[in-house]
Amino acid sequence: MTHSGSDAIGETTSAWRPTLAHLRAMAGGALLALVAVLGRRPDLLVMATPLLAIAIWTTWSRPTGEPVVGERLGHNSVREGEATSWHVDVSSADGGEDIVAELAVPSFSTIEPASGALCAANQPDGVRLSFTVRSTRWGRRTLGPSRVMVTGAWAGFRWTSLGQPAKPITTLPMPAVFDAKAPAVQPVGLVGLTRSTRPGDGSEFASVRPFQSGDRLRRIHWPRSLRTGTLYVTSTWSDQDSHVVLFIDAFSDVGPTEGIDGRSSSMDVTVRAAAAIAEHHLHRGDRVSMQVVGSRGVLRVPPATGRSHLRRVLDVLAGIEPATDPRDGGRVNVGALAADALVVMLSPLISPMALQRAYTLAMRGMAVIVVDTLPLGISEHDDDDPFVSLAWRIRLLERSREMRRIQQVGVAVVPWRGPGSLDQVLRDLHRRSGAPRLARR
Amino acid sequence: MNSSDLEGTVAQVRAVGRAQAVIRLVVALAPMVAVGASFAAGHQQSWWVMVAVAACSVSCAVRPETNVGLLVVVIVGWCWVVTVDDLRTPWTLVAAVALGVFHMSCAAATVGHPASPWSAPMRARWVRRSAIVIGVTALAWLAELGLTADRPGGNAALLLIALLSLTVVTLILRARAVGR
Repeated sequence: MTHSGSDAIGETTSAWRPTLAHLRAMAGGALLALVAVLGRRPDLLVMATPLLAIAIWTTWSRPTGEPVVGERLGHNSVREGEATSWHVDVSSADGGEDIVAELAVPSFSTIEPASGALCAANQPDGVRLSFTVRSTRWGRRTLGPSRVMVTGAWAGFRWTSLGQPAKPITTLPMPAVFDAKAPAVQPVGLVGLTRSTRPGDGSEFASVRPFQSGDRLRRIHWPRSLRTGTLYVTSTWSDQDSHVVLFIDAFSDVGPTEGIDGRSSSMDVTVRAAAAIAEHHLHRGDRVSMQVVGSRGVLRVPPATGRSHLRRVLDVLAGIEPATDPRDGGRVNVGALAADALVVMLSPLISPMALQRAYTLAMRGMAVIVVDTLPLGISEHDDDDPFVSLAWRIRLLERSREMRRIQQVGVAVVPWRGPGSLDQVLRDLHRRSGAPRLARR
Repeated sequence: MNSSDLEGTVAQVRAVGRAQAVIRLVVALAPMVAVGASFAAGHQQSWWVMVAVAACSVSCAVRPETNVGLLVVVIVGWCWVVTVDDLRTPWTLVAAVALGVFHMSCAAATVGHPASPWSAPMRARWVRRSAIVIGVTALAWLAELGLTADRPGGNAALLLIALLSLTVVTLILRARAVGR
């Protein structure tokens, strides 16, 4: 079944135009009436009556108003799985009777109604048609424009909107469920929630000790001071934060992706895991910075903390376009990274450049964790091409060898499994951070 | 129509909504009712005509926004002229209503997306107006019965009035439809 008004596609101006239905009523009715008159067949005139009646009715009630169409997107930014609305307001359609709006659905989105079209009868004060659009995958896409058609009586005249510019919509990744109970590796900052190894001004109790010059009066521990006759104060451990650097490998995106409701590709796992790790550390008061490689544009987030910074991280993650910038030599600007930063690299480890980066950082003495985000079942049998499965198995064998080699130089490689994925490796790094290390500077 | 077009058409047929399915069923059946009325009035039948009308009407049901609908009107009118001699047969009303219903449902099928439902006000308006047109057709049939009661062979004055009326109506329609 064709869409109504298919002949209107390609029009360059918005105007009321007669439809083929009107042409049929006029030409068919006139032809039958003419034959009836010339052939002395009044019965044929009866058959022409409905067509002529409709043709006259349609022409007499020809629409005159110039409809005004306004389109509005409810939210410019949503999370994966969340929905927003697309409103189409039509007014000033004098003489128009039926209003139809159609909205094209972008990729990784669902629309309600599923047909992508809404019909409504025209009202004197205008009509609002609302679509519900649900985004199922992170990324930046455009929505619309919608096509609005207004038809007159008996669908005899039709007005088609030219379409307004599409509106951008950003779908922020939904952070995966993540939690880590392991202590921070090298907390050195002064504003986080992590207890440092140094006493200082914080909230974590350390001891009760004799008063020293410079101690604040509100720190005086009065019960003990009164009991002993000497001033004692409560000392605390200073609260500290750590710097977490997220390296995102966007050189490749392997595996099928079906949005948040279905299977996830490697890039889906990477982005959601990065969002989860960033959210976890930012809630703990740590500083988080991020760098994306393999994607077009400059995707770099400087270190900062706080709720607004999480939004910034998610925004940059949503802008990743996998495999759009293959230029990367695997070299890292180490000078831009603090020596005590914890580097978390998220990669499917398909591209050797990611491992090269991890190796470079580890050689500089930095704490590096590589999170393997290759989806499970990537080498399963493919009915369409049996050699794909074989090729994947060979590649995975090479990959496991590369992972062993990178582990031998002290880089931890852990698969992403959600909560607790990094606990063991973070504990190991925390223990190792106190030991002397050999680093190439 | 290549295979991709055919697949697209099949997909659209599957996605059609209930309201549009009913409308398009009427589009497919109404011309056959009109032709059937012609055969009943003329006491003769031609399966080739019926098959041709059926093919065209089904085509209209699938793609209502084409000129095939006008072809259906022409075929039905031609079939009536060559088949029926009785000017006062009640089958005239059946054929006329069927032709009118065909046109109205064909026009209704072009409103909205095939899968989108119609709102209640839209349904009520179309049904009400269709009933009005059918009523006007019935009045025209009654008028025809009255006019042909005494002079079944025709009337020169009536012919002149009809021609003049037709010309005036055509000019007015042309002026309003094309002149703007």
